Parts: sequence; structure tokens; C-alpha cells
Amino acid sequence: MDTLHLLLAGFAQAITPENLLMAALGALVGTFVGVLPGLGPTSAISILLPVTAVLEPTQGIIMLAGIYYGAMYGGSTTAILLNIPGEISSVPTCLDGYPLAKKGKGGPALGISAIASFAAGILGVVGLVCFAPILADQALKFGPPEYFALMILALTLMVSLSGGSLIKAFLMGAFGYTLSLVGLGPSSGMPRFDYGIPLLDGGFDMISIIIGLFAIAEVLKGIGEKRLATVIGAPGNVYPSKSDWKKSAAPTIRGGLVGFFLGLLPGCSAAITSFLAYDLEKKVSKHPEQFGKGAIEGVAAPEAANNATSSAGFIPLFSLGIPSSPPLAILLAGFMIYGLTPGPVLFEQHPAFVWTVIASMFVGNAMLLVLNLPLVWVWVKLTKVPYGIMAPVILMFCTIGAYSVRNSLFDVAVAFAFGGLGYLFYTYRWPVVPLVLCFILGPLLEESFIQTMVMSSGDVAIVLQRPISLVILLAAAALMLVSLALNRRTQKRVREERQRGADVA
Amino acid sequence: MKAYVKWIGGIVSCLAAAAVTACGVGVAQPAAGSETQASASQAAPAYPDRQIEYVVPYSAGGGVDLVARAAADYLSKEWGQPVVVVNKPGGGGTVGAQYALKQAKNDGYTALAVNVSNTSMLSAGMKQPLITNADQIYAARIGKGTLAFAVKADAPWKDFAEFSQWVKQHPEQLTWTSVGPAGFSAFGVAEWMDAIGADFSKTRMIVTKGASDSLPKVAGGHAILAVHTVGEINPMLQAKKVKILAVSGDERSPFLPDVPTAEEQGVKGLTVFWWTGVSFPKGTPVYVINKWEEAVAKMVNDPAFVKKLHDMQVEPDYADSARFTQDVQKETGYYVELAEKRSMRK
Amino acid sequence: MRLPHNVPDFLGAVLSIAAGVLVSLEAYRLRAYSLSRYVGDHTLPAILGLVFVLLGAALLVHSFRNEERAKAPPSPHRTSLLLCLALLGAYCLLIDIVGYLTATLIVSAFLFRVVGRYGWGTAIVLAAVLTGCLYVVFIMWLQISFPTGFFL
Repeated sequence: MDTLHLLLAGFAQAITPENLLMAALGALVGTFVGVLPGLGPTSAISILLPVTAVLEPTQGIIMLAGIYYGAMYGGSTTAILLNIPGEISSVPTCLDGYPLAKKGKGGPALGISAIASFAAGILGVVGLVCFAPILADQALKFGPPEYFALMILALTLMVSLSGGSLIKAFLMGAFGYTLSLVGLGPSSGMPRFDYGIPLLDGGFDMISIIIGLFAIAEVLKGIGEKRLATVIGAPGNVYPSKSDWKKSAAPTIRGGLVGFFLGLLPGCSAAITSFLAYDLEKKVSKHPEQFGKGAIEGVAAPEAANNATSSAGFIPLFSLGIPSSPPLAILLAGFMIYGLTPGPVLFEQHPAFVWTVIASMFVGNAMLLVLNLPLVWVWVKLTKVPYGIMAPVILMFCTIGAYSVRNSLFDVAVAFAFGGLGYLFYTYRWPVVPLVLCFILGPLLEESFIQTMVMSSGDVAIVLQRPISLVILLAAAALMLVSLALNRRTQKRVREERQRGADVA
Repeated sequence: MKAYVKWIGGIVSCLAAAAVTACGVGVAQPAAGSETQASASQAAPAYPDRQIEYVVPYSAGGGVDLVARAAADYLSKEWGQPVVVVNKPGGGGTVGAQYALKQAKNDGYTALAVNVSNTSMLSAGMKQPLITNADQIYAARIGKGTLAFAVKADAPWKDFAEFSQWVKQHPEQLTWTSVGPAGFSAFGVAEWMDAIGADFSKTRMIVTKGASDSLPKVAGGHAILAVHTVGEINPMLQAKKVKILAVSGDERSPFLPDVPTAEEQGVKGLTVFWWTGVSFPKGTPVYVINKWEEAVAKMVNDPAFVKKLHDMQVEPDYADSARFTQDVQKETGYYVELAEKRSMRK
Repeated sequence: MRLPHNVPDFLGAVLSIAAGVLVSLEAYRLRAYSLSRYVGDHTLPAILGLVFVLLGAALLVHSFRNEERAKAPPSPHRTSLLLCLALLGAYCLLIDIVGYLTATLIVSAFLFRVVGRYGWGTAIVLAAVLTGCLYVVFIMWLQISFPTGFFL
């Protein structure tokens, strides 16, 4: 009851004209920056953080939250229309969104993505309001063995993301893991794979790899094909048809739930949950072979998971002060710069502030929907810009996106190099998605493995002795079997489709 | 011809729209870098007469970053030139340090935020560290933080003496978190083991990414002990998920007046503490160092700045270049000795 | 000697095996710093080394057997593609030497010329407009600190 009262007070605060303006401005600016190809949420927040620092705390944080949601949404727009994800969490959206755009169903895809994001965002915020303290406690029960089991589970996704050849998919996965190893070794603190080059000690940044493999490679593809327009095919109606609605309702809810509950775990970022949601959808679908070729469910589920995770991520952030993803880490930095330390103290000492921010998340989510549905056609129009102009512009944005995460030219060079590599991978049909997935899982897997072994003094059996990790492992085994069966079934279809030149990888 | 001219217009207006929205905020910003050229004060060349890059070798939001941002804020106003914090994280703080100390020019327009882990502990942890004390001139120390020993809130030990006793008897049962074998926590634990005569080699280190990763592990019962600064532990302490058994150093932390020091509980000789300051590449002109010393000395007495430090639970602790350098060198010697004894040095 | 059916896959397989050897060597070097025989910074590299070699070998066999020939990349525009990559490489170096703005102006002019096939005049105008917009948005308003180059 008390909570409800506080929330209402928060709403009263959030809809003061000034705060409303901040939320709108944040959502708009976030969308604008996020929609620039090559600039995803992490880059957008890190670029815009200093700008908000001049506001007073409540308004600043409201604006930052708006930017966060806006940038997430903007990132999906480029993922669907241009095959350029701004963040790993938008990679699954590309898988089906871009084929849809190519088919001339970019409009409905964008519409569904906005609606799914909105629905899941609201779901997430409701969860945040009702269960924040209880769920935060449960999340603490996840120790290294549980994370290790979870990483094994995520590893089984590789099979279903392989596209064509399983061997190639696993080789690419191994390559991704290897890339993630570069830098300081976790247990010894000694440099690995640096071959005496100090620049490599910092490791590769995942944003620059994504920008290279997707954005720059996509531009190179366009140049190679001498593309004239940015997207082939008419964008179509923005508002999804009845059948699209029907098809995506269930995936949205499933994706939202997966995203929300896994998003509570610190360290389980939207990148992982959106992949899991996509995979789940593919498994429960009656037409798994449609996935990767423009299934609207394949847009709704990861988008919902992505946004639900973003909202759920606020629970460990607010109640324990733990950021669960890179953009949230920068958001935490924002809190700290304002002199607010997230944690239960924040709830107790500044209740008005916290509930205003939570209320403004509702407002921000609604605002995004209102702003974006009509704006979709603007983004769609943008794709009609001649390729000769768009391509260099995209490349310049990519440079800024890669640079701004760590302010490092090395990251820019890495992005360019991976652009070249990505083009080669595309040409010779080596799937890049397993590489990306393993690149994010790598550090988590290794760390949780080493931590588990230290906890148990070198006995792997601990993973089987703890109930939660055992359940996760069993689920992983089951999923693996299902994936293999499905893979065999779709393999044939995929090969047929490939002959027609569809983008499977 | 006409078609693409139209499209250029389209792009420009789109960018302009983005720009205008950004501008709504941008304009509100007080022009920090107003164009007043540095007032001709001393005989030394006017410094600073343009923007200074203040490199923080960690991500935004950490202790070093927050202090640096507060300092940059103050100094921008003091000097009338923008002091811009640039985060260059990676490699445990070495990537940014290499940039600021080795790649940038030593003209005083690139400063580095240093702290205990990318200076003395780095030299102690590796036989060939990438950055050494000889690469830099320590200009001024700004603040320090007290080290605290945290365990799960419902852990069976009621005080530090009891905990030390237990560890002495069962070193093989102790798991503690650290960012690595030469991390801040590792030195704190090693020194403590030394003081109570427990066997360090039998205890087990759980490697984590830092305080935000290690404290949940302690609170969830997956590791026993976490050693961090008071400010880092604070959120979980307030959440009543962990408790602090002791702080190191000679006196109690002003932020935790109820928590006794280790010394009060009979464990003597715990000296590891966290500090942060600013350094420049070697060969930087003396007038730059003097200017910073002077400004930082003034800054740590500024009530607004002190309040900011208090909010992040960092104590102001100014030291001029000479004393700062001396302290760091002494500390490096001590840590090298500690690390060699424990074969932590690789 | 029989040639493999699928030459790109064959090369990929060889590269994978080479990568396996490299990774294994690094794993061997890292063993010195490990916590115990099986646990440490070398564990994952060792597993990966094995995976690379095994799967590489499998792909190698496959590339001889595989009926399906990888079609040659449709590359009538390979020159402009390579030129574009070269330009990007040059861009990285230029930013360091002449600073972000100058480098962006020069490289984007070339890119407009290469990719869009506009005349020099148009390309330079477009590049100037783009650089101007980037300057206003990212440097003036958003205050990103870019390298200013060697001369400043």
C-alpha cells in the first residue's frame, strides 16, 4: 500500500511539465543518437552523460533513463533497416528484422519492435515496482557454479544459430572465445595473447567488434554489390497487420518473461537474454525453418527480452548498486556523478527521487511508443538516401561509435579490421553470430569456471551438487538434444534457401 | 543532380534536428571554458592556455573517476580553461597510463589520474611492469580511502579478533575475493595474514571483476571475505547484506565511527590504504607541477569539493609533489617485499 | 595430388589448425602462472587449441569431399571495395597525424568519390558538409575529446 502511495506521488512528480519535457527530450535524443548507424546504447549514453551532468539530479536521471530506453529502441531501428546493430543485444533482431525489411515488411517489423519493446518495458517496470527487494535477494543465491551452468546453457545456442555448417559455427565460436581471451588473464593478472604489444593488454572492446562485423561489413557488402539505395524493397505500412499482431503476442510475452527473470541476475546482460529468447521462440515455433528469413516472431521475442532485461536490470542496480550490462554501468556512473549511491539507502533516503524516476520510466516508455510509431516512416524514408551518400556517412558514424566507448583509436582500427574480416566471412559463408555470442560469453564462462574450482578446491562435481546449477545443466542437456534434432530438420531447408541467395549467416 | 541535392538537404536537416535537440541541453550548460586567456600571473609561461586532458585509466563511475571528475570541475572553474576527463579503461589501468605517460606530449596538457593499484601495486605484482615510478612525476595526492574487511551479514564471527583466530586455525577454509593476485585486496589480505601469523598459501583467492562483482558473492555466501574501501562496501552494508569487522589504519574511518580498527582488536600493522592523485609524464615543466600543487592544495580546502569527496566516502588528503613521490616510493618498496615473500610477483 | 573441391573452406581449415597451434602454444606458456594443473588462465586456451585443431581437421576432410562448390564472390567492384578498406586504414593513421577533423574531411571526400562516384567538386562539398555537421554535433555540443593531431 505504501509502495502504491509512493508510486502515485512519483507520478505526480514525473508529469510536471519540466520532468515530462526531460523524459521526452531524453527519449528523443536517445533515439536520434541510437538510430545513427554504429552508435548503440553504450556509445549513446557515454556520449550524452556529460551533457546531462549540468541538470539537477532528478531531471538528469530522468533524462538519462529516457536516453537509455530511446537508444535501445533506436539501435533496433538500424538493426532492422540496415542490418547494423548498435549493441550485441540487437543482433538477434537483425536475424529476422533485416530479411523482413528486404521483403518490404520493414514498416511492420519496426512497428512490432516498438510495441513489443513497450509491452515488455512496462512488464519490467511493473516487476520492478512489485518485487524489487525480494528478487534482489534471490539473485544473490546465484553463485559461480550457477553462472557456470548458465554459460553452458547459453553455449547450446550455438547449434541453433549455426545457419549452415555446424563445424564452421563452432570454429567461429572458438574464434570468438579466443578474441575474448586477449588481455589480462583473470586469475594471474598476466597479459595473454598480447605478443608484447601493450595496446592488446586492454583486450578488444565488444562494441568495436560489433561495429566492424556488422556495420562496416554491411557497408562493404553494399559497395561490393554496387547497391544504389540503402534498402531494397518498399517499406510498407508501419502499422502491423492483424496476423502480425496475432503472431507476435505470445512471443512478446515469452520474450518479456525470459528477459525479465534472467535480467535480474547481475552479469546476465540483454545480449544473452535476447539470444535466449530468440532461440526459445525458434524452438517452440511450428515453423522453425522460417527463422532467419523474416519471421515476425523473431523480431518480437528478442526485442521484448531486450527491453524487459533493461528494466529488470534496474532492480539489482537500485537495490544493490550492481550494474548488469555495459549501458547500465555507465548509467550507474551517472548516478555516482550526481552523488547518489544506488542501493537500498537510496530507497530509504531519497524515496521521492527513486519513485519519480520509476514513474518516469512508465512515462518514458509510453512516450517512446507515441513518438516512435509516427516517426517510423521518417527512419524508413532515411533508407532511401542514395547509397553513395549513406555509406560514407555510416562509416564516419561507425568511427565515432567505436572511438567513444573507450576514447581509443585502437578500437577504431579494430572496427575497421573486423569490417574487412566480416566481409570475408560473409563471402565464404562463415556465420558471425556464434563468434559474437562466444565473445560475450567467454569472459563470464572462464571466470565462473575458475571461481567454481577455487570454491570447491578443484572439484567439478560441485556444479552437480547444487540444486540450481543442476537444474540449469539438465535444461542445457535437453535444449542441446532439441537443437540438434531441429538443426537436422532445418538443415535441408536452409540449403535449399541458400541456393536462392538468402542471407542465412 | 537535383535528386541528390535534395538528399543532402535531407541529411543536413536530419542532423540539424538531432543537433537542435542536443542543443536544448547544450546551451543550458554554463560555458565552462570561457575564452578568458589565462590571466598573466607569474613570470612562467601562462598555463593553462587551452584545454587539459585528464586521463582516467578506468571506466566512468569508479572511485578514481569520481574524484577526478570532481577535481576537473573545480579546476576548470579555477583556471578558466576546460579540464576534460577522458576515460581510457583497460588492462588494469595500464592502457590509459601508457597513453598519458608515454604517447602524449609532456607539455602539461595531458594529466593522469593515478591510484595505488596502477602504481606501487603494479610494480610489486610484476617483475617487468609496463609503467614504473620512473616514468612519471607525481604532482599531488588528492584523497585517500580506508580499507575495510567485510563478511556476510549473518556470519558467525562477532568481531575481527575472533575472525582472525578462526582463520589462523582454518586457513584452508578461507576464501577471499580480489581482482587478481596483485590486486588491492590481495595486498590487504597478505598483510593481515602476516600480522596474525596465518598461512597465506593455504587460503583461496576467488578472482572477481571488482567490488560490484565481489560483494554480491560475499553476501550470497559464495566467498567468505571481501576487502575493499569503505565507500565501495557502503551500498551493501546499508542493505544489511554484509557487515564490516574492522578497518585498517591508525584511526577509525570518519564514515564508520562505530567500526573499530584492526589495531583496537589486537591485530597490529595493517597499513594498506587506497589513495588517488595526479601525475604527469617525466620531463613535464616544473611550472606545470607547481601550478597543480598550488591548485590542489587550495582545492582540498574548498568546502564544496570536500563535500563531494565526503559523498563518495573519500577523505581529502593532500600531499605535494615531493612528499607524494616519497610516499609512493616507500610504499612500492614495502609492497615489493610483501609480494616477494608471498611469491605473488611474476 | 588431388585439389580440394572447396578451396576457401580448405584455406579456412588450414588457418584454423594454425590458430589451434598458436593458441595451444600460448596455453603452454600460461601454464607457468596457473593455480593448479587444470585450473587457471591456461584452461580455456588449452581447450580452444584442441577444438581448433580437431574441427579444423574435420573441415579439411570435408573440403575434399564436399560436393557443393563455394561460388566465387560476385565482385565486379572489388577494386572500389579494396580502395575503401585502404582508405579506412589510412583514416586511422591520419587521425593520429593531422587530427580528427582534417582526417575526416580528407577521407570522407575520397569515400564519396569512390563509393558514390561523384565528381571531385561534389565530393568535397559533401565531405565539408558532413565534417561540419559532425563537428557541431559531436565536438561542439557533445564535447567528445578527439585526437587533435601531431601539430597541435
